[in-house]
Amino acid sequence: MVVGNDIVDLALMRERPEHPAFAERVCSEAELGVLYASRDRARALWSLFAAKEAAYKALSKLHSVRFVPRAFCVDAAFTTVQQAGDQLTLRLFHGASFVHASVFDGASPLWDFARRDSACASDAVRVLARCLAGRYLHEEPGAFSVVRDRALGAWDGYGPPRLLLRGRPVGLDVSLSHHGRYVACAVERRSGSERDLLVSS
Amino acid sequence: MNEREIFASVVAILTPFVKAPDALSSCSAETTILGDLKVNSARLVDVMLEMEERFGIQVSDDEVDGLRTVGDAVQLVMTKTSPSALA
Repeated sequence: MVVGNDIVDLALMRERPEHPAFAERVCSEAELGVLYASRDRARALWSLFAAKEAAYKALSKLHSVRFVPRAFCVDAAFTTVQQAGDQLTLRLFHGASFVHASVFDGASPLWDFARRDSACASDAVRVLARCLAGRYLHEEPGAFSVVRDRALGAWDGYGPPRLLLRGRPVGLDVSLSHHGRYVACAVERRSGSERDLLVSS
Repeated sequence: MNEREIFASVVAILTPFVKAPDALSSCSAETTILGDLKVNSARLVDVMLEMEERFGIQVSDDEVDGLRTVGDAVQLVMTKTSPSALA
């Protein structure tokens, strides 16, 4: 079971609007229909994009997948994301000035967001991840760490984040996101079994 | 346009979207767009659309996904604007 999440700071996107051809480049025909019928087109557009990016983060943990936004198809009700043979459940949360997408293939994940203020985004999102994992497993947040392994060909040279509990792998999948003033994180158990949670995965 | 001019144009297109100005000041062909310059994936689409307009080229979705470094973007433009590509 995997989870992906993405948060978009709508105020930041309003500061510099997207290219006029952006929507046509990233959306399917059906998605464009939804977009043009929306009363809040910017929120609809960034909801679609966040869903696509979250799905990419989740699916890239399962197999090799390219981030071609148009190939990640969000249904008109914003409840699923489909890419090739994979379909994931989508949950959107609309804040006053942000939109958050969680995408998953099992039970609904635990997720949270925070304002990062002046903190480094990378540090702030890891603090949030440790707190969230602590809530999930009833452990102290300080018992967790977040690591990323070197991965040749990855966009920044590193693979997806992994959670460690007291230095050992734990059966929770984690997804990190930060944009503008916000950081967000989602966690979901990798397996359906309670017993597997604390076993190295 | 020669390679140096294309590099300067690509950097100029990237600049408004860069979240790591220090990396931009020492930008080279090996500088990664998403990792070093911290351009996010949505803004990378904007960058590609502006490159298409600036250089009069078409960039496919797969080609966008394959871009890692500033040098990759420069080479893509050079390939697509070479006389053989335009023939």
